[in-house]
Amino acid sequence: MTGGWRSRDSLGELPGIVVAAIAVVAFILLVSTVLLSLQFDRDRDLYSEVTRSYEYRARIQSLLSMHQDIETGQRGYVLTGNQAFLEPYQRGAAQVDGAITTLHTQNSASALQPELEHVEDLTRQKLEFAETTIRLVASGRREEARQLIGSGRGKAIMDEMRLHVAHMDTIMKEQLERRSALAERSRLRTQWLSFALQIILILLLTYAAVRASRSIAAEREAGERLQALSARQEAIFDAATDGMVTHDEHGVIQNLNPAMAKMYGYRTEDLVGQNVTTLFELPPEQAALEKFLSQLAADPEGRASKVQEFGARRSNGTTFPVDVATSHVPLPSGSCFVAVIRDASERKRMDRMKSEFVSTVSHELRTPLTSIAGSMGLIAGGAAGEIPERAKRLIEIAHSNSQRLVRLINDILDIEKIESGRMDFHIEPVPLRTAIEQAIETNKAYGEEYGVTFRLDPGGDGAVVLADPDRLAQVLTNLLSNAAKFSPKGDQVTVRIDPGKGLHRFTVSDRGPGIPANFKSRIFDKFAQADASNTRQKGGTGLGLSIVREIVTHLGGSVSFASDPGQGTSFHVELPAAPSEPQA
Amino acid sequence: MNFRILYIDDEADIREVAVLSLELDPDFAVRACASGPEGVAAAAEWKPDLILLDVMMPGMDGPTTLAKLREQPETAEIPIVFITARSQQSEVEHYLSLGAKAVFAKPFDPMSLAPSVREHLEG
Repeated sequence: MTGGWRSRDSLGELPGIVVAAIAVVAFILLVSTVLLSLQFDRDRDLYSEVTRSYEYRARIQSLLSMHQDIETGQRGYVLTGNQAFLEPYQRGAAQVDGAITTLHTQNSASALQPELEHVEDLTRQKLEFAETTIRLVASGRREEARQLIGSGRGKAIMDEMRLHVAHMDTIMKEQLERRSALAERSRLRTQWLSFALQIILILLLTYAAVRASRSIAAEREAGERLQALSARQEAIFDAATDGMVTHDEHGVIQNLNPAMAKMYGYRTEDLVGQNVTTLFELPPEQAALEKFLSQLAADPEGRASKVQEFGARRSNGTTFPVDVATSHVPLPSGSCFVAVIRDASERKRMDRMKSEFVSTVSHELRTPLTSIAGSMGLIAGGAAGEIPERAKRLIEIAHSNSQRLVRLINDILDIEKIESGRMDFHIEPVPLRTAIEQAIETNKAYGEEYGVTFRLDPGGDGAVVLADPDRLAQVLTNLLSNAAKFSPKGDQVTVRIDPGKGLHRFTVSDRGPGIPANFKSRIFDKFAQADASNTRQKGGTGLGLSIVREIVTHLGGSVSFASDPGQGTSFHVELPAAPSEPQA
Repeated sequence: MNFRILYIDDEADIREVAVLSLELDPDFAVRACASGPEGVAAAAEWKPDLILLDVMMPGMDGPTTLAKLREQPETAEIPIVFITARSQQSEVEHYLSLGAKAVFAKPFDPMSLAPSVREHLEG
């Protein structure tokens, strides 16, 4: 289950990582694309420059070829006088200016400019020379033309042109080599960049594949765990003997188990989609329905509501009591409430039986005791006239023990009522000092039987506690009577009030023998009494302190004691202070 | 001043103890009846100043007897005190809601019964 929930947590983390990964990959791709694009542009430019360099060299060689054509045509015409030999001259002459212009236009090396100007000048000289010789031949002065050619001027021009062209070619070659080297370096850079990008992409893809693979495995595992959990929960849901129903925040039933359907006498499919309020005894007003749903709804933080009793209605219209506890399950799709419903008919029947039993036992025990205690009391009180001293003593024994039986029955019934939650507590503000004074007055006669007086110390006038007055009186009576029983004859039992914040405390103290160490842990147990050698047993039921603890606990307080053998005993009772009353 | 006290209870021993207890007050004249119907008839004839009425009785129980007494004009205004061993708070409240003036618990202190009744007569 834990691993499955970890997988689920992993699944929950993935979207963030995926988004981050996608962002990183996209960023890398974008940057790489931009870099590669720039690199490709640079490469393209470099290759264009290399190509232009090649072309420029070719144009330079082409210019030289044109001059050679011009020279060839010129010499051929001069030698033969045949117009046909002028064709290469004419062709070259027509192209050479354009070629030089193109060379000027496409010149990308400043070092070429002087050479190009030289070539241009030489071209002009060469053309003038060629035209001169051709004009001479055309005018019948071929011999002059030959002599002109033989002077070597044309050759000199050509030689010089070849030198300049060769120099230009060298410059272009060097430029070409530089550009080629640049292009090569750029190509390598591009190659490495592409390679790096591919490696990054491969790594990212591998990482993504691994993560995806793990996510798929985790998701499958989580799915299997969820399936198993769902199957288990469905089995529990179907097998539960209590009715279970799920509904949305409007009360519309989404699902219910077989026990629920059976309890109400419906088929499961009849209830799905119905409102859960149809299963309870409710007035038809909308406000009542809404109030009921809000009552039914649990703590929005998901804690189960306390068990509440409602009247339920079966399909045949009969009603029965149910105990309902609801839990709220927040889901991404909305709120879901799960209600566990138990037929309370049997519980209430048992409660009624217990209540009737307690009442019956109470009556059946008390009825004969009324006669016994009443008769003894009358005789002991002198209502039957004077009786012999010995008989009087026996009557007193019988009377006091019948009183003891009455107290025992009362205590047993009281403690049964408290433990079963059937004792009624009517909580109200009770002035503590007044309650103690009344209890002292009530128990004064009892104390006098033991030769013990009670004293309430000054103080605590404003202390008011939240308590049931009758139950508080019972607590005080039990503590005062206990203290009197265990006090030395002629001694005094003191009561002190210590007001506090939120809780007020009172203490009942005696100066009796104290509580033995081995009894301290059992002092509040039912029917627990210390060894006879340490007490004067004068009618204790063994339930008094148990009742004190139960009542004080139910009132929201606490009881404790301090005692050491030979040092007396003090019982401390703390009770909730009534609000808005002066703090001491 | 003499007061007439009628005690209705199906338990003979308790009737005897109660009568003796009540007669400790010299101003009390006491009669006892063993059942609800007997008590209703005696009350109509004798017109007591207060009726002590047991709850658990065979046949006509205490609450039914009270209702009968209230139906009779001559007994409708007589104060009635239930005396019962069924002393749970909810039961006491129920008996008071039926119109009883008070509810005494059994077993009762025989020396205190008469003074308690006098308090309700004079109160």
